[in-house]
Amino acid sequence: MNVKIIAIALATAVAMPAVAHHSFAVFDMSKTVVLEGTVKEFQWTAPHCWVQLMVPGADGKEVEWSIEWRSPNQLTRTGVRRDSFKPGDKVQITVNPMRSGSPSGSLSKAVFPDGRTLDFNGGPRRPLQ
Amino acid sequence: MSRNIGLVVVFILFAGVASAAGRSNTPPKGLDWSGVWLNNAGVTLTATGGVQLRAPEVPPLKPEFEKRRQEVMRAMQAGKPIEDSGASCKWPGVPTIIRMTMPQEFIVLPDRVVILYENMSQVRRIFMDGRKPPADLDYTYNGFSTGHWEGDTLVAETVGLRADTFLTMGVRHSEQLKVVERYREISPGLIEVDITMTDPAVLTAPWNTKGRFRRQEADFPMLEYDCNDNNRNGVGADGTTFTLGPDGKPL
Repeated sequence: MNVKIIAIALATAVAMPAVAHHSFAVFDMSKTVVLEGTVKEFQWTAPHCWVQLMVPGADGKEVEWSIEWRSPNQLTRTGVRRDSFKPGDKVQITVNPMRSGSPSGSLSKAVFPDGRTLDFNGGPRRPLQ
Repeated sequence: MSRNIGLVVVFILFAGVASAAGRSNTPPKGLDWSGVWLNNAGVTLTATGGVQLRAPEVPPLKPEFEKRRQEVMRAMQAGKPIEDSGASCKWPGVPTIIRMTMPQEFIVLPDRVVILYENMSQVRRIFMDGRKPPADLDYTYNGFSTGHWEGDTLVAETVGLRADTFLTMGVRHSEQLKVVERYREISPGLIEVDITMTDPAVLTAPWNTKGRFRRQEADFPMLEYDCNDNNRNGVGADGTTFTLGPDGKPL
């Protein structure tokens, strides 16, 4: 892949995300890719939110990654808001990559320079089970 | 002789009253299903941020439908999902919507129970006033539901379900599908639904399954959900799903 990939790891425990909308089988949930880049756009939209992340490649050219997340409905209830990612934010995002090798993945974890962390389920709040 | 007939009549009347005990068109006194209920659909969010899914259920499908279900499962495992109606933002319809992990509200009225689903902002009306489905019923996503109360249990029967929606993963039902739902608050803040699906064209026997709904805290919001707002997924001509990149072309 012609991008700056910090680490690729094989996950030992595979958890298939449950989504109301579509199957996430296009993503390889057994693999993670760690990306470091700059937020171009945060699409706070149904059925899924997307983080468009510009990631510098080995040749210096930037590659735009499309990182799929849960719905704004699910995320709102965990404390995520429409400005949780802002254009220009530097962020490290771990994704489960698309099997095809396209620059796309399912958001697994996002870590901001100030230590703020989000994961696939969103922020720290959880619905009652 | 006439005295015997009289006894039989009295017995039949008594039996009729006994069998109808607890059956009512109006909600039981004190029942309060207000608030927002989250369908957990057997899904648990784990402490580490992952999602734990229960094992997929296997309905009693006729062999040709079981074969299809396994094909769809294999395609999913191979990373090329097919028959994924959600990707095209079609309404899920009954019975799928009963079992999806999203919140809902029960609006319990004297003549009907209205269920408001966050999922695609769907609405179902369960008529409790004794009416029957119309004879020339159209087939729709959520069908036509009639119901009654049996003690503290809401019983709903749904027919008129369109055959291009799904019974289970990868398998559509027929227009003969009948769905009976029985909702009861089994402990404070926890409603269980017992679902029985009958479809002689697809199933070898009635399929019975259960779901659970947990009442959420008062500030838990029900939100809009327009699936077509920014759907970057779709279903291609070969039935597989695709994802659109930032340029609007498949990734």
